[in-house]
Amino acid sequence: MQNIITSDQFLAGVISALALCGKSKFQLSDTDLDRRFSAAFDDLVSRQSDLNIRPNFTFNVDTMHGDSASLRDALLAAKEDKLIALNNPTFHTFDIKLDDVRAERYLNRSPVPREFFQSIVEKHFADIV
Amino acid sequence: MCSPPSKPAELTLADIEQYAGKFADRHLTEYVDDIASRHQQFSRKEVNDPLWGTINLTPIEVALLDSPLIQRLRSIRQLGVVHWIYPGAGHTRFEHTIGVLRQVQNLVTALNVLGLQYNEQQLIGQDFTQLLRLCALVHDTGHAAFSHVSELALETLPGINALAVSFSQKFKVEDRQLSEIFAFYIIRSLPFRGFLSTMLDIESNFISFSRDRNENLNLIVEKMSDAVIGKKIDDRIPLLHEVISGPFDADKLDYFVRDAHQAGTPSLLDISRLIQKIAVRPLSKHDLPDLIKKNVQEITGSYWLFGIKWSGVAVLDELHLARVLLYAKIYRHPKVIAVEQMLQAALISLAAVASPMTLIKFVYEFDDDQLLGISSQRILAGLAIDPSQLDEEGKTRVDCAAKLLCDLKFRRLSVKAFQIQHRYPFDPLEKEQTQEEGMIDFGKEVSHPQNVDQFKKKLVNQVSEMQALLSTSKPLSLVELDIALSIRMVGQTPGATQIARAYLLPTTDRPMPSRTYTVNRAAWAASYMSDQPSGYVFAPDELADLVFRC
Repeated sequence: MQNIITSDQFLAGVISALALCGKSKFQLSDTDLDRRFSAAFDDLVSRQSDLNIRPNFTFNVDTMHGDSASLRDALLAAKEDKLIALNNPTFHTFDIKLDDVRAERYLNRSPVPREFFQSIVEKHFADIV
Repeated sequence: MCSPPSKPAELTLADIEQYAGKFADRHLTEYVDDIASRHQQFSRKEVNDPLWGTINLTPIEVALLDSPLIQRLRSIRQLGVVHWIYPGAGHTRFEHTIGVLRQVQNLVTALNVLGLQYNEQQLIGQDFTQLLRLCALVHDTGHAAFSHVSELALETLPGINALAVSFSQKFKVEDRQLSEIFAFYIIRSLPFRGFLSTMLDIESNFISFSRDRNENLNLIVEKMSDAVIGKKIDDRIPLLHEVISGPFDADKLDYFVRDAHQAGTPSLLDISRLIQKIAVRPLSKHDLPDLIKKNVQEITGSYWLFGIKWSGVAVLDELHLARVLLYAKIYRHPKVIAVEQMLQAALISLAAVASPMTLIKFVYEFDDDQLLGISSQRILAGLAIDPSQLDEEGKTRVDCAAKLLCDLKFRRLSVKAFQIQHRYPFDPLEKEQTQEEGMIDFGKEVSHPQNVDQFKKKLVNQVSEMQALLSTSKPLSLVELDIALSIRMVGQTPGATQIARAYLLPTTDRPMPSRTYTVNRAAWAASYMSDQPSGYVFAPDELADLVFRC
């Protein structure tokens, strides 16, 4: 049976991999992050057979607006889970809050191997502030 | 008759497309043949709506509304199960459908009046107006019995849960619900095309995108199906599809007000004010927002963008507030969730004895009231299952599903056995890191569609052991407990991102998406909901104390 990966798990995996390589600040300017996560999601889909996983979400962006509702909902959930902090007042920047111990725990529990998260962080998030 | 499946067959989009075609055939072909054979003519009609007053219908709309495809929506309640908690909220998808048509006209009229300020005599012409009104009538045809409640149960099942992702990847759209996917394929089916073709025979110009009849039909079908899944249908007005699916679409304008009104809860949405704050701007391609620019073809003349006046930010806030109040007061009412869980438990129980496709057909072929109080025998007949092929567990599952549906009919509802909070302010360990992170991790585990089963299995086993220790007079078996207990975690409320896409249109400066200007309203709305429980364990009343202790 394939393991289901949820949007929260995928986002937590990416954030954990980012935290472990020392990246902690993000800009939501304006749809740049949506585009990066959409590309990362496409990579996940392309590897779903060999990773024996099945995503139950997409991070596809709206073609006319460039943002992804499911990514933004997952970011809010990550804020509730104290993985990230959205900065007031407009929340256009956020900080990664989880420490290395928690990041390791998320990556160890994820149905997707950490090497995959490391590779997409290198590919899609390497130049992030 | 078939025997129960040993392993759920994986459904593909082709399976859904094929079934949507058969479904459309059963709900349209005989009706259309009858119209054609009798050369039936249709006249304009007016219907009265308790919210919006008189609503005018064109002849083709009367023909579509009178079809079994739309009449079926009279038997599907808009809010699934909410009327068990808010007795007035028994309104149906049919009433909502007519209300959406009214709101489409409301938006189109407003945009056309604004176009006149720029000497544009008819910004949205007759063809697109009629197309959008037809979209309103068909946008909910993909709903099964109990609307989103059955749909959410189906979408969790192995064999079905990959369909939405496949659809999104194939058509390059965001996540779509099963009902939207089904409506999309109904519109693209041959029987629906046959309906449109017959209507063109009666009234050759009701929509005319092309002089070539076949090409015209193709364009009507393509634009209608694209609009219901939120895809562009016009280059000149690139966001025209958002009248059907967008930040302040006709669907929201109707259901935000109708659901609140019927439930008797307050709504902050002032539609006349919102309409007053809509703005349009003619723009050259150069001045269009970048992403829209990338997605439109070259045209002669201006492109037209619509959005909200700079002074209208407050009406977008009202949309956010109305949405949040609907979730806080109605959709996420704990008792509403309890009833939803009972219905979903019945369907999930049947998934163990029926294939995914059979179960989908079951909820599309029976309506709300037919399912309530249905007997085990009728369930088996509806699922085309030979009872002699069922083992004891299978029989128990069917009987339990029938019991749940009977309990619902007579309002013997499950109760909260346990509720999980976002915060525990009186717990001295609340801020202790291990506990805080442990609670978050626990929430994530029980939110996961597969991992929750492991937790539930432990809970069920423990309740079973406790029953034995307490010498309960009529202990439930493990299978019965598995169906009777349910766990539901409550996620983010959807919809905020879509509202925040509305463009703010200053008089002279470039259009700006409201999400880039205002404080993040989605985060604000999430904060508003944060005092609500994050999850529940539900159980029959007589078991609730025991489940709580376990």
